[in-house]
Order: sequence, then structure tokens, then C-alpha cells
Amino acid sequence: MGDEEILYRRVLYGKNHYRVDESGDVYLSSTAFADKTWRPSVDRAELCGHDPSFTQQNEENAVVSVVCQDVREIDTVVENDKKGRQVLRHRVDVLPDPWPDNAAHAIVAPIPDYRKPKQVFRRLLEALVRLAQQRPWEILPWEIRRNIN
Amino acid sequence: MRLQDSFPAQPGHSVGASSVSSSVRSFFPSPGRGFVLLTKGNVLIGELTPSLMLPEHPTGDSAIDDYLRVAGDDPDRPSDKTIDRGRGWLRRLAGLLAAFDPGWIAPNVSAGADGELVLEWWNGQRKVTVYLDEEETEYVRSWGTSIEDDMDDGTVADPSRMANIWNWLHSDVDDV
Repeated sequence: MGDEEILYRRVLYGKNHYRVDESGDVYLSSTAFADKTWRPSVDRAELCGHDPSFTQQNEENAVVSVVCQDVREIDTVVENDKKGRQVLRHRVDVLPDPWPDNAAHAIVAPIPDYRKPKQVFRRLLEALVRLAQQRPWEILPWEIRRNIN
Repeated sequence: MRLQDSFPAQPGHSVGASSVSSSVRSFFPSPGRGFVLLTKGNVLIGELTPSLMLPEHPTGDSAIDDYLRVAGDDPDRPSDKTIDRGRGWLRRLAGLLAAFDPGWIAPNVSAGADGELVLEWWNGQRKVTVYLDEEETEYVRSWGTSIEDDMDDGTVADPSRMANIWNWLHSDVDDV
């Protein structure tokens, strides 16, 4: 996968995965990238026609994006022991993971695997959310689109 | 009025200086005891029990209630035990912060991947995320994208431990 590739992430409606404040500013929750397997799913834009509605699936959902290189540059995922000593460093990569019904599917994965996934993964979520918020929303939250229309 | 970084205060011991000029200057939680300490000057003058100091705080409850209304029958919804624990934790936090600048601000509440209740507050580049499950309460504090340099984490089982974090979140200074 090329560093320049754009990756789409679906942001589900009705789960508080984002907050829209009174001025219309949108705050993306870390849970927007949460994943039970510690490997958040994304769709490769170039394999779905650069059409974020492919990832959106449901009209009420929103879509954000990150750049593959930015994700790979999260290269200092560090695991420390209880005394704060570094025990492992991870490189974060984006790996193709095509599904039968979704050739564009890919995952954000640590190399090597997390040994203490919870704490490290939570920091990764914060980084992913910040990267996504540095770019325009591919498809705005339903609450905003509904008001515009 | 700001929460201070200087607790725990102990009976008879002084607490840190405050910019508050009123005769009763600050309330300080006593970590691990569930008490709130009342100070005058730098001297502890009394303790107030949670039943006196921490009545029902609808702002803390409403954040959870808003989430439950949104979540409905979502299968990823945290367990009832986690919800109850989160409700109590937020109620205490709301009570502790109500008197201090900028006061209580309701968090965004959502569900984590492992059934945690996830509470989030933002202020510019600063963000605090609290993960609360049936047993533990942990936080991640972030101010940039570097996992190593722009984030830290820890536990906040007692809401009083949020004082430093709350001060940091709402501080005007650039350094973190």
C-alpha cells in the first residue's frame, strides 16, 4: 500500500462517536476508531472509487479519512512496564485485509502485536482521531447535513 | 476559583496557597476516604460528608442518561454495573467541580471496545479521555499526535484525582 493512499473510516450515527457543539464545531470521539480486535478497520479510497459513501453504508453515518503515511508515522507506540521502563516499541502499519464483499478493506495494525494492548491501543486511538480531525470530514455528521438541507 | 494541585490535605495540616479571598477558601477531597475537607486560610477547619456536600447532581446524571437514550438497545452498551459505577463517579466529579472555574462540563459519553464507559472532554488541543469499567477508572491525556511525547495516562479511581487533570485541561498556559 502506498503512503499516499487515503483511508476512509465510517463514523456511526447514534453512538455518541462525535459531539456537535452549539457553534457547529464537531469533536470526534476516540471511540470512533475503537475496535474489539485492536485493529481498526478502514477502506482504501482508491479501491472504492474515492467514494466515501461506499464506506458510509447508511445515510445517517459519517465518514472521516486519514492518510496512510500519517498513520505509519505513528511509529513510536511504546509499551512500558509498571516502573515506566520501556519494554517494547511498535511500528504502526496499514495492511490490506480484503474481504469477500469488500476488496478495499484494510486494518491499522501494530508490528509486533501488543503485549499489553489496552493502554497502548488507547493512545493509538487518540492519535488516529487527531489525524482524522486534521482533515475535512469526507461526509459530515448527519445532524449537520440535516440542518444544511 | 480553581481546584488546586496540592491535596491531599490532612487534618491539621495546611494546604496550598489559594487565590480565593473568601473566608472559606476551598474544598479539598481526601483521597480514598470519600470526604470533602473544608479549609479556612491554610488550615483545615472541618470535614463534610458526601451526604452533605454531594447531593444529587443532575448534570452528572444527565450525561449518562443522554448516552443511554442514544444507545438504546445497542449490544455494545456497557453493563449495568459499569453504568451504575459511571453514574456514581460522574456524580461525585460534578459535585466536586461545580464550585470551581470553569465549573462542571458534561463529557461526551460513549461505549469503548471492551464495554467501558468512555468519557471525553476537549479544550482546544487538550483532551482528556476517561475509561471506566466495572473495576477500574483510567485516563488518557493528550495534547498532540505523538503517542510518546504528547500523551500520558494513569488511574483516577477517586474523582478527586481528576483535579490536576481538570486544571491542566482548562489551563491557559501553553506548556503542558
